[in-house]
Amino acid sequence: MKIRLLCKISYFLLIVALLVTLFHYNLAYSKSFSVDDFLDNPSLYVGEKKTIKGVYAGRFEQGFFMIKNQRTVKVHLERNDDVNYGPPRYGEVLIYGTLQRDGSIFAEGVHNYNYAYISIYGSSFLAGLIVLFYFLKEWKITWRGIKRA
Amino acid sequence: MPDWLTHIVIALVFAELLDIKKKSVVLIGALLPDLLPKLTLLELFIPIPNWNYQFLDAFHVPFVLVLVILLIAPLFRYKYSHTVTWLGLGTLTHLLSDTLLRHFLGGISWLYPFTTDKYTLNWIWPDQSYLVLIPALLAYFIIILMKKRRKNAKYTS
Repeated sequence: MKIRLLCKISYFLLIVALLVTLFHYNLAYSKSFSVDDFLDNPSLYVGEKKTIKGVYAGRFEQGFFMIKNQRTVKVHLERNDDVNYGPPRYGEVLIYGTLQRDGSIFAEGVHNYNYAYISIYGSSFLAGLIVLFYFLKEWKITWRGIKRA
Repeated sequence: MPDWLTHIVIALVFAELLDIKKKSVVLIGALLPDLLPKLTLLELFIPIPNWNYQFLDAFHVPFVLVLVILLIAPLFRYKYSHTVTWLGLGTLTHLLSDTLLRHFLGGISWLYPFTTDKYTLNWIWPDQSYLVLIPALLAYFIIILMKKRRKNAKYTS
């Protein structure tokens, strides 16, 4: 009986520890950033360096557009990069750059996730199925928890 | 993140090496760090509300994952210490392989809550994870073959 009570108290303390940690984590990394916030109010973020991953959406002179959470971001490239840059193949593009007052980004680093839709997302889906197969082979889900199959 | 396939193959290698009975628990551990943080990938298909999703990233932090593992282990009607160890092993393989990754910014907060610094070896981009997957697959098949040979040798002797 005492052990059961002790287990319940420990479990409750773990939940409290997790909640406190999540709260602390949010405070510790207080500068949360979203592209939506930046596009709605770019002047607040001028000069900040950020990394953003999105979908390539076409070129313009000395740069390209990318889509992040269904919104379009204008990315300027340095002149040298502009000549060499080609769009990603079946994948997204990752940029690191400085946020500008007009809601655009001046990229200092660009990486194309070529074939990521297959090599990352497609294979991850397959992996999910493999884990599900192993799980259902070894366990069964009941109202009282997960039991050996 | 390397893709999940790389994560689970690495986890399987360790599960086979250590002869773990319930491999699926190690595999779940190997995917655990990505389950919540990657929910934001939904934005590829639908617009997601502009909330603060930072707390989801916390579930990719070793310290938080230890707490999560201790909390979810009782879901399995099995020896608690075994479940915790196997989930922990899977999670450890995930975080170690993520430490190989290259970023412009970021990494793994190995020492959180003592410091908010993130650590990474900056070796390979996530889309190049085949560089880890192929050796891991080879290692897995070699282990399986060696185990089979040993089993056959036992039966014949």
